[in-house]
Amino acid sequence: MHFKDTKNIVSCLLLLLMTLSVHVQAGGLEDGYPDDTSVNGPAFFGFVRDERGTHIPKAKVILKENGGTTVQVISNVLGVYRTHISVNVKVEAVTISCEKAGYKQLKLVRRQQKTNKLIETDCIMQKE
Amino acid sequence: MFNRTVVVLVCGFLSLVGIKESLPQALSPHADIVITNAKILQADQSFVSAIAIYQQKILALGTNEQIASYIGPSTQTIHAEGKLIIPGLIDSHMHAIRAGLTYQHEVNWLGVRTKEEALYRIREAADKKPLGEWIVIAGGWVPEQFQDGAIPSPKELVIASKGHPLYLQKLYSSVFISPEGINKLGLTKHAELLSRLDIVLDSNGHATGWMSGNARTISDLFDLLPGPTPSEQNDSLKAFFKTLNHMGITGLYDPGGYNFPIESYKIFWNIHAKKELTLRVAYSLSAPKRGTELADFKKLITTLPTNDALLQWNGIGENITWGMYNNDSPTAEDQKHLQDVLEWAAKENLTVTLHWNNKESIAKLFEVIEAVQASYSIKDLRWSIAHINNIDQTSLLRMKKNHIGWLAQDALYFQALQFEEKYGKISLSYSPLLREAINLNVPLGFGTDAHRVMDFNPFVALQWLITGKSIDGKEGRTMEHLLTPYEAIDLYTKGSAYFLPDADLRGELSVGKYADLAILDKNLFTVPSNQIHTIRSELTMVGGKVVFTAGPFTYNRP
Repeated sequence: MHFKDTKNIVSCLLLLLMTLSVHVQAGGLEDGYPDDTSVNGPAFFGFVRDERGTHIPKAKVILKENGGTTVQVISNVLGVYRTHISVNVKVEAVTISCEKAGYKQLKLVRRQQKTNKLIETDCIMQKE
Repeated sequence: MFNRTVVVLVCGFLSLVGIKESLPQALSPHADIVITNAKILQADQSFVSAIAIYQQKILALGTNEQIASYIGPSTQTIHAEGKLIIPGLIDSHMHAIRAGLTYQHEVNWLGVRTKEEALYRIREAADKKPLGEWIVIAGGWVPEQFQDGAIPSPKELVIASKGHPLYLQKLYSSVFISPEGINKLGLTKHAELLSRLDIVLDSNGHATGWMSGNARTISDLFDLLPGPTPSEQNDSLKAFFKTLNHMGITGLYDPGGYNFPIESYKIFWNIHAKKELTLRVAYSLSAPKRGTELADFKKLITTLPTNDALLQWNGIGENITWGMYNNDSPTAEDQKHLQDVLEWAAKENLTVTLHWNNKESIAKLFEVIEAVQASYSIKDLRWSIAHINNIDQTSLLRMKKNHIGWLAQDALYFQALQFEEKYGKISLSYSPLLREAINLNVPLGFGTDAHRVMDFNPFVALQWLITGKSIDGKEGRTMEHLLTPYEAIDLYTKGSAYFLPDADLRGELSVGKYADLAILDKNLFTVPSNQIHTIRSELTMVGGKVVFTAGPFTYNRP
């Protein structure tokens, strides 16, 4: 099994994009750059939260492509995560789970998006 | 009965053969307006003291005595109190219509030097607005403008906003939103957008309210804010144009933009239709969406109002095809797509302005332009490339060879630090290569690219052209790359006018040209160079019509 923590990669990408944005011009700098889904494949994102909606930061979100890559990402201070697996990932073959010490996963809530490049899934946890 | 039309024709003829002033007394018509006791900058860099204006255009220039002969019973005379008169400034690349629609709706930190002043502007807005209404500062500032780089802390921002939701955007890279703002936006309902933002934490691991992201993400975040109503937009745009008049601006070349659909022009067109436009606006159209650019342009151009002396559709740009926009690695397909649109533009004799940022990739753009010229001539179409702060001599020569002009801005006034970090101090000492472009006789217009990153104040830009110093007061271009005040004004007037449909009527104060001018409160040629940015117009005239007055000229209020 091949593990990779994509958090650093995503951070580097963000930094790179921010560096680029410094040198482009005001009027037209809002677009033209490829979004992260065309570079890295579909974006998997959502909240890690409890049943009452309280966001859970620093939870580990694990995305596993059946027979392929596994990616881990940590939810941020707002309980939000975002990551990618690959450009060629089969979205329907990806399972998502979340972990945090003192919590157990209750369920996943998938939300429909306009495009299959955006996969929104909330991971609902409960204190043990 | 004196036939004024004949006289104007005679004046035009005399101006063509080089007689600029002092028509034979018997032929002199009475001017509509005469301005005396001024220092009027002429195209040859000499000064005269008086100007006569008739039917929107300059009838004569000369001494007070010479011009006195044009004063008749109905002539309005203005005593200029010895002040400098320059041709009306023309910003050749300002997103003015977009900026103007929200101008009054927002607060700005333009010209702010201390955090106290910055916080004062927020408090002032908080006191004026009904509680709960947003305070929005959407760009137009950089940390380097603050003394010691000390920008207000999150706590200070929240206190100053007095319970109002606050949105503070830095360039297109980060945003501060107050807790009230986060609640009001319902940001947690926008998981996709939120997941693209990097949340900035304090030393205790708590969110500070600052968040960063790429330009697209910041733009999407801004779009969540409630916008002004059409009526507010109308008032705001007119107020913005008046502000530009206060800064001596009489003309613009507005390059549209990515998030500015054709519907957004309607308020602007309506202001023009109601004869409330106070400056000349040339505008180009950007492609509204990816993939159907040529078809969209063909359709869009059939929907535009008719051009006249104040409103001028001026071709296409700055975003012509999305695949060649902010893309330093375009594919052959991207290039072909742009070529198709540019060939159509060339065939239709349209003016084109192209947005490009980096010299490293500009060869990709030249390849397309050269391919177009294999079949079509663009020699007289006033095509331009905007930006390219790090342009080199090779690219300038290739521009000249391809009949392409350069629309430059004062981006390095605001972003010198970042430029130096990326390209080095030596590169900053000559960038952008304005002196080289002037020497090579590459058509060169100047402007600001306002807004949201840049300041629209032309005197900030003129000071930077003349001194080379960036917003933090540090040296940029070295002496041999600085411009004289004459050269700086020339770029901002005649240089910018070159790219407009009526270039032969604008950009300088000479007989037969439009009477577009500004009487300045301080003499740009004698004021200390570090004070140029404080200059304002006290009387601005567009086509002989007074559109702005202040100070001693308030009695001429339009």
